[in-house]
Amino acid sequence: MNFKTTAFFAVLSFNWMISTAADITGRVYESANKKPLPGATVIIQGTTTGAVTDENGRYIIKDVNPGSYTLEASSIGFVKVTKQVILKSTITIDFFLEESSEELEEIVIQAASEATMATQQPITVTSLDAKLLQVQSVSAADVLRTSTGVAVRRTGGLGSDASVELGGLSGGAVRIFYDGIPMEYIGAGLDITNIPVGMIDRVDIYKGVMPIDKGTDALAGGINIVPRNYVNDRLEVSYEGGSFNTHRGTLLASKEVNDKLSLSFKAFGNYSENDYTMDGISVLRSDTVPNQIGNGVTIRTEEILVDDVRRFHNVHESVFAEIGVHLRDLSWANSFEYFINVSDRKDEIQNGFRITDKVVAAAFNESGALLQRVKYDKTFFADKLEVGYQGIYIRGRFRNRDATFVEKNWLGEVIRTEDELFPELGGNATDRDVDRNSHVHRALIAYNFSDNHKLTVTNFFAGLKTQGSDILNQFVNVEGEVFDAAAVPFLQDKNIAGIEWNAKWLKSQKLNTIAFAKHYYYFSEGAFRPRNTDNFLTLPIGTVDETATGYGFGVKYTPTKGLLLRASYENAFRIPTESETFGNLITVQPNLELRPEQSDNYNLGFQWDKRISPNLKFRTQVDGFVRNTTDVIQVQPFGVESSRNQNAGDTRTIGWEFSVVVEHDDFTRLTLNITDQERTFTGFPSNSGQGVQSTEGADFPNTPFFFYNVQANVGLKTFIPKSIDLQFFANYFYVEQFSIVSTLANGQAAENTFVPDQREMTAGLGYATDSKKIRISAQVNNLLNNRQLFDNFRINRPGRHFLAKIIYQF
Amino acid sequence: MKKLKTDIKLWSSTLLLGLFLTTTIGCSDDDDSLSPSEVRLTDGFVFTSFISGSGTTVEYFPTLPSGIADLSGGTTFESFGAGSVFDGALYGRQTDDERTLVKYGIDGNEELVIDASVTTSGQFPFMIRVLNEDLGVYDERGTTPTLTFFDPENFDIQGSIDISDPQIPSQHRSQDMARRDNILFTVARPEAGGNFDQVYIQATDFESGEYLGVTTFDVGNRFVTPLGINTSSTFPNFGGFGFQSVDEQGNVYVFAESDPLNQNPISAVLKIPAGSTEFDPDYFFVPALVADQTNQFFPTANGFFYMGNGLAVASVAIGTPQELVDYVVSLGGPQFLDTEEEIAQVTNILFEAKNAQWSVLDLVNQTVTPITGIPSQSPVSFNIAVEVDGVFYLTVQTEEENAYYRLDGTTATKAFDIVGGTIGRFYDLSKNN
Repeated sequence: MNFKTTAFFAVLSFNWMISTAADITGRVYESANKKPLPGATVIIQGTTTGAVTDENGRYIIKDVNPGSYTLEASSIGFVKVTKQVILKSTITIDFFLEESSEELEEIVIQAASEATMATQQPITVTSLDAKLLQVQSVSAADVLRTSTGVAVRRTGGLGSDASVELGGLSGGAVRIFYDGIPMEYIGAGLDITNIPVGMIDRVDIYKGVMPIDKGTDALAGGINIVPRNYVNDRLEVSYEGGSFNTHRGTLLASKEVNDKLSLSFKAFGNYSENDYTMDGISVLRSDTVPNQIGNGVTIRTEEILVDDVRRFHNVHESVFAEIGVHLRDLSWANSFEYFINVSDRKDEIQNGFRITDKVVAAAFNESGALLQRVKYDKTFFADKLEVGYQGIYIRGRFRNRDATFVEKNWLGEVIRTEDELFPELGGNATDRDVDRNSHVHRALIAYNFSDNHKLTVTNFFAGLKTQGSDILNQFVNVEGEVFDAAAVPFLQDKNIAGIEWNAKWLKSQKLNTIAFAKHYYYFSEGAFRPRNTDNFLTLPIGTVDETATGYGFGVKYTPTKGLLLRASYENAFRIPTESETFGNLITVQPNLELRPEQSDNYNLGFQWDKRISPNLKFRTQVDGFVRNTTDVIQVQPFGVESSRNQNAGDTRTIGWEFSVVVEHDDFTRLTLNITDQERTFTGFPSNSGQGVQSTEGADFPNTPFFFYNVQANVGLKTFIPKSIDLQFFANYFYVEQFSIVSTLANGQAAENTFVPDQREMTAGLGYATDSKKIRISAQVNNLLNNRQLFDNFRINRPGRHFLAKIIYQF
Repeated sequence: MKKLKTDIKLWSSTLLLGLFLTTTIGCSDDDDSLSPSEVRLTDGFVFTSFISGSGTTVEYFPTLPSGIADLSGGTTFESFGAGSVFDGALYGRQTDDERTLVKYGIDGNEELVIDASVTTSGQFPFMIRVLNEDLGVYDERGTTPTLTFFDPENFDIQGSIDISDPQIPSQHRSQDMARRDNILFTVARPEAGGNFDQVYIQATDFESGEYLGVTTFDVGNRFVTPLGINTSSTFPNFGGFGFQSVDEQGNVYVFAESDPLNQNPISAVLKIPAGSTEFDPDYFFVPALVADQTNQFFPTANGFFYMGNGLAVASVAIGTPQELVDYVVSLGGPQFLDTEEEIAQVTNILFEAKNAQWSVLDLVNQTVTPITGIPSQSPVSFNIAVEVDGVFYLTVQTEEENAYYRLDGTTATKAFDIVGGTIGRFYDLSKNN
């Protein structure tokens, strides 16, 4: 080294020494979909200096001395990426991480980073990573069951109705979203019962408190199903088949045209005859007996109990296809996406609320939708200002037919024939065929005042119009004019505006608080059944126009690494639905005075992540909650032999949830989720007019109070040659018996009102080829062949049955 | 020692005697005794309580409670209601089956048990009555309007009478039934829900097996209050219509109650005279107007029950709440009360009002005597009267109390409070029908 050279390096070194330390910043993205990757780690190799990306995938390593470094970005489930940098002044380095090819067998306690980040908010969120279940033959509803606090109650096989209970509240109290869109606007063509797990990235469950950028008028919280979205070159197909002539297929395809444009296509199809057998079924048979009193034929109906009765009017079929155009890194948008999808669905119906001797053999539902959606986001002023918008326009159709001339028994034999159409489910024969069009808009503006303070303003608007005909359920007035109530447009508008302040406090941002407020507005207009169907001149039309204001807050404290304490509260509202307000045109009368349900939701909990040894780690989470709900909407008797929805009273729900995940890096992952809760009546509305309602303390009906699930995933590499990639999985679900009726303080529910203890086990084996391109699985559902499995009231679910699945990734 | 021997003998004799008695008693006639589940109680009282949200609670009391009837220990079913009590058995729809009628008994454990049942052709069978120890009748819904007759012991079907009638405007069913000798009077209601705008009473002779026809009465459209205000009775209820609706002379009283939640409903007592199956067109007794001639709006009553000797009880709206008068006048009159919002407003006023008073009705002289000692209540509150051994018990349901009052002449005193549940009907097992 000569003098000049030596002098050059000396000067350079001196310059570096006197230079001001600089920052290394940037973002980490998922390579597959170009979406920011929260929770990823970026470190300077050979040091302990680094940072973790935030919810926008952004990281910043502050005060780094100038020099040459190797940066390493990593995230569990992704391939590590390194980059060389020469730091002179603050620089921006972005990373794109590829998914690990071993994602499905790699057992991780903190799987996808987005799921992990979601669980570390001040509000209580459980995020279920669907990737871990994708080798199994399950749908979104089955994914939900693997959480704490969530009870999913099915009414049969594939595609059968499912209701979701969250924190002891159910029905409309729990809002379900598909990629942020409220499901009630999408239509029945796409719902949690028919979305295969292969289409899902993760499921976020918001318990009791919903952030303003996600929620609508959820009372108990909400569930957001996040679909898998890929924008790199990818093609994945899957097929599964099994008992009851069940077939399901999915297709995910994406093409990265250039670094700014990608195209995607996804589709699925489901078909099942659901013709499983049931035990202890009442079969009716009719014969004639001598008429000793009057004239004519006297019919006697007899009932016999039969086992192994096969369902015969229970087919589910559904299809869905979506094309997506993805633009990114444009001058006018960080990201702009356009989707168009179609869905179609048909369900035969074979029973009502329960399995009785009355068989539904002709009724069915059909639905379909054409949905277009745009998503846009852009940041300004060095990412300080964020702007986002999502808009959806849906043209949907729904048809419900409940009319027949013949009544059949469970063996399919005709036991009654009538000259006029009669209903099997409702009070009147119906063939309601309506267009159901809606548009939904969600806009967001957020400003980051600093790293610690962010203000967000959102607005959600949804408009819905339903109109069609019901040729079998029309009214004729005194002047002979025909009125079809279904032909009168039902209109509903909802607007929910929110403002939220998110702040981080203390050293290392150990304390994180959010405070928010929401303003609700809703309007609805619709027709209802005339009070006197023999003597009216105009069809009655009612309108409802109301506002409400809610608010909430959340606090999270992380005293040490891995430990998280949090508390949150929301004063939440749920707006009455169309049928609750306007009745069913038959026996349920309208109630335009119906108030929204309101709930004070409190949550308190902690979460602890701990690595016990290099290969063994665990996470535990304990949450307690209280829901003080007022103006609970329930159908109540009203007038003679009719009913209407009323604000029936107040309830209190108290519960706790416990979750623990234990994982050995090499071969196993065990999960236990326990939920214990109770919901009781605490009061009654002042305008009941029915005197003292002294049923305070009575249990709220039809609510599971104690349930748990255990899941095991065991990689068998440790026990067999490593060239054979086998995985064993098993899930066990238990729900303690509960009654569908309320019980008074010292009383009991009648034996025939109980849904008995439910024990269900699923087990299977998965196999992957060396290249991971082909994955095959086989599983047994209801392994214990529990023939008394009903998770909705007395509707038998299938006995032991089998499914096999193959996934091919090109 | 002698004493010891004597004592041993005495004790031995006592032990042997005890052993003998125990063995004898244990093996004798009690071998034929019934276990508690086989016993059927034929007296006592079955109380019911509706639970807000779901279910009906049922609790048995061996004697009529005094002071307090605590229902909090009852058993809750999906639904429960008996149309008839006969020989200690209750007849009604099965608690968890939409189309099955059953014969309930109360067993020795004081539990409700099913002793016999019949599956009907339609669903939601409602009207069932036992006529005598050999014959009962129920309304077959969802098919051709039919009265089906059965053996009350075991529900064996005996026969049926087709009572479909083209004079009744739509497919109909029978809500309730009165009986005069061999003639059954049934109230017709639309099968598919809703109500008729007239009262339709069908008559059937169950001995000859012959349907006799229908008689009608247009309560609402023909009647104008003394001040010229129109009334309506488009939703007739028939509270209290039953076997006790027939007086000692054979007159059948029909209480056309109307739906209180409608345009100016009116409640009237009608009469089918003894020996006839047709309404007496001249008999039209409106208790609320008799009690107060200025009662222009919502002259209703409920809880009607015939007590005998030409006297009945009912909870009668006496005087119109001023708030309601002001509201209806502001609309221009009850004929302009037609939107759901307006009717809801009226409903709210009536829920809060306390202008209804239990009263004794003289059906012969058409007079109304308010009962003293019993609180007034909302005109739309649930009201029934129950007879036990010739004494009448009347419900009171206000924000302050849930209670049954005992009637003595035209005065009432509290019999017992209902606690632990809402107030509902109770059944006397020792009284047939």
